[in-house]
Amino acid sequence: MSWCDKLASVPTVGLTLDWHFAPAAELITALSPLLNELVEGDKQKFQVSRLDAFSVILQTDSGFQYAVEPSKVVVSFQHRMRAKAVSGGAPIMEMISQAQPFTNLLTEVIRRLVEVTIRIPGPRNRKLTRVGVVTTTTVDIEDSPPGVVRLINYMGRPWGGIGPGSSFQIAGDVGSTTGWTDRCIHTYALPEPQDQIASVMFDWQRTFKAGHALHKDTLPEILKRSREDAEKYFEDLAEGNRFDENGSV
Amino acid sequence: MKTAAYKPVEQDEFDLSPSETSAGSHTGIKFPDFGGGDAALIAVTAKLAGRINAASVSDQEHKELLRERQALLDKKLDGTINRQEENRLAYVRWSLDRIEDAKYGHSLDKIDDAVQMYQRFVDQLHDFHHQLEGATKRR
Repeated sequence: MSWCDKLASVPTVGLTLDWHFAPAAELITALSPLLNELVEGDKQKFQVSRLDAFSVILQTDSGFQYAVEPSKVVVSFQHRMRAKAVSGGAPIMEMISQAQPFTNLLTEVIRRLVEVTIRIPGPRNRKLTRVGVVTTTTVDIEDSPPGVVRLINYMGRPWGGIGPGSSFQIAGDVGSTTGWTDRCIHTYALPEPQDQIASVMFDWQRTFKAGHALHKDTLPEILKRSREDAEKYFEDLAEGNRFDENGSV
Repeated sequence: MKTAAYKPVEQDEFDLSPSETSAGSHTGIKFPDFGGGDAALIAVTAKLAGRINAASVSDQEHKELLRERQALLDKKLDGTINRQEENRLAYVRWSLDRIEDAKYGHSLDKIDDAVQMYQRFVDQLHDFHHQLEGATKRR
């Protein structure tokens, strides 16, 4: 079980494609068969969060968000809350999305991403140029894995630590082959004292040197491999060998 | 017959809430608020969800982590552990802590919340007492 499971991290997976400007109405039409399944009884279980000329963002009640733009397709998961009336008291917040391990959510996000991507309109020879796998974690620093704590301490060393109201973002190259280069954008933010809860986001990206043809048979395999490598890198971050100045590794 | 329109009770006589419009603000006195304080909802949700997930670790995985910790500790005691393995040991310990937290953390949090609530209430009572003393002296 990954550390992301233990801290209830939430995933985002995205694809960067060749540009293709399809009108939003055309995008909605293409996604219509998927939307027809997002109904419970006589209740629609999704909302259109944004609708622009060439992009659309859909949010399901179960917490999945779909974003389709001229050069990107992204599926993410975010917990959904709603205010529930209470007899004789103030309303309480209720979680309507289901708590699941990160790795399960990641599988589901990837499944949905493939489902959406193969439906969106575009030329036959449209190319896939980048895959992104993101983990977002809301966590008290004292509950964070040792490697993440080491990274944060490492960054804050000149000032004797990083206090509330701080944030940093570092993009680093993390690997390459003849076919692709990998990088990860590491983002940390700790708001002012009222919240005192940090947000840690690792945005792992694989950029292909030559674009891959977008095909329903090859896309799952590309995503599977990217996922494995991203998870491996996230585990490496949690162990923290990269930020260990005293180590020989 | 015309019924009288509902009129909310005026709050300027007595109000236990610490809001700016409450009676307390007229006199400059803040009333104690037992159990008050901002709840970091997202943080609480993430923590609960994390515990649910950590609690679902299989016995086999738990045993594997215990075995790995023991093997790394043996190396440490022998003085043969390298830096990378020490980092791994810290990570395995952290993983085991999360599993333990999933088992017992909720009960400990409830005790901690109760203690913090009483401590906060005691502080507010002391403050209230000082304010009352000040108000009495001014008369």
